[in-house]
Amino acid sequence: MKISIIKSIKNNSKSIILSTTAFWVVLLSWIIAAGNFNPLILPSPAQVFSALVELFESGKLQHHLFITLRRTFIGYFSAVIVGFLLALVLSKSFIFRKILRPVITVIQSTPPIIWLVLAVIWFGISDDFTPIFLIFVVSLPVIFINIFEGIKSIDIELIEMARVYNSSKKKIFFEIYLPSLIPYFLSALSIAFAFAWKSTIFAEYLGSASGVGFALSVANNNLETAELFAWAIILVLFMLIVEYVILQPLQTRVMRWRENE
Amino acid sequence: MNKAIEFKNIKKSYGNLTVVDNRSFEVNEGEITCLLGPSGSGKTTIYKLAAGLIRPEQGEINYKKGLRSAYVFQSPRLLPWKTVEENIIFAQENYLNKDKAKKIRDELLELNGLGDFKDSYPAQLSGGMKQRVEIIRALAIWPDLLLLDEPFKSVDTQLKLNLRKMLLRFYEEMNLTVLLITHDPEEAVLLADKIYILGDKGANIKKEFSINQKQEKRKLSDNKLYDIVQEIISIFMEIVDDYRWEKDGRTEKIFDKMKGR
Repeated sequence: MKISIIKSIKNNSKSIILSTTAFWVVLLSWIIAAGNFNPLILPSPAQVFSALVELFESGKLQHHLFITLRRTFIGYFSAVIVGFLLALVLSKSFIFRKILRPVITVIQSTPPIIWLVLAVIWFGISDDFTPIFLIFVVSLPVIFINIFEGIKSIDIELIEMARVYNSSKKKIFFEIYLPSLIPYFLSALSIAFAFAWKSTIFAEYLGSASGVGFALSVANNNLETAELFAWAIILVLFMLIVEYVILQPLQTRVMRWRENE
Repeated sequence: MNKAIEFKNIKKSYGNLTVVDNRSFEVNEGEITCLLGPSGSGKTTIYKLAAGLIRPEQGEINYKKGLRSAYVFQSPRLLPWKTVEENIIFAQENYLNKDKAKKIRDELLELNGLGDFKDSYPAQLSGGMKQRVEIIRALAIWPDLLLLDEPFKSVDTQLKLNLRKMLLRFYEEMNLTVLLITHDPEEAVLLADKIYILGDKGANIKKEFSINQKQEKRKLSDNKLYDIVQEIISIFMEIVDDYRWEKDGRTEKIFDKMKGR
């Protein structure tokens, strides 16, 4: 126990040292490289930082980020709910499985740009609908497939045990099905969020008149490369925060029964 | 003698393979009935039939009304996301009120030296401990009928002897009816009032033994019991008919080949 704690501290500090070193290496190379290029091609970290501050002070950052977040969450959570329900229905019904399973594969293998073009045709530019549609259609198969696999891997022996001990269907659903699905659900959440976040930006860049993606396209058109970099940093940071501050701790907390010590 | 379970002309096949072919036998109330056979003799299928997990194609299984049955499976079927105590409650709450359930559970855990582990998750326990929890869960619903499928298969000798003693104690104190499935002739002879020897094809009942001696007085060194064990083993040898290692000329040739002569 004690040894393992010491080991984990050692491993932790090792990984902190490694990632800090990597950070400084990247930053230094950036500074050196930026010295040799026109800021239109590669702005320096200082220029990007001041662009960041400007975005914040003008309120542009908050405005567009909020719009993007709202769209991401609407599209993402509808995909989560629909994907989950679809997986439940398809795993129970042979007919639905035969009809809908290929449809989902088609949705999954269609390149996002096709969906985006279609969405622009159907819903037009400057609407919330276009990015939300794209997020939904890109995240849905990810959620569905993970949950569907999860349902297939539920331990039949545990269900048998519950049945011989006279457990109700409701109890079996809530106390065996749902907990079995949690690992699959969490990994679906995490993968789908990365998809959703990228799709939002993509859709806003090409098919919307607001949001971070739109701000990116404006900065690009105006040759504001420093602002472009600033947005990129915001996007990556946000993704990291969701992954490491929300999703991973959630995973550790919900799956504490998997710990071996 | 009242019958707790009665199998009448039961038939069960998987595809072309008839695993149980027109078999009848009964489990008398207040007795330990043992189904003994080598692997592949249809024991587990009979167990599943008795538990109602699968249905016979033919024949009927009659149960005495109002008996509460508990189950112990070959390998522990514990819910990994529930603690030891929660796993026991999972079965108990379908039968007992909270106060009674807690009293029984606490005593059983304490008697088995698992009091300190009631908040542990299965992943934190050894294999033997898990199987003990499996058995405690069965006893903790305060059953009338106990169905055991090779309950001691995966535990070491010392624990096996201990668990057998526990089983016998409960059998006497609670006037239990027990159906025990095992492949171990010694175990059958030490525990059972009635033994059915299952054969190779379709769970053919090769022979029945009744032992009219209190279990606590039985010793394997006792001539009568020893003779029964020997007889069972010779029936097993007939069933298996494994000539491959006999020095009968055939195998010598094979060994010669392998040795490259």
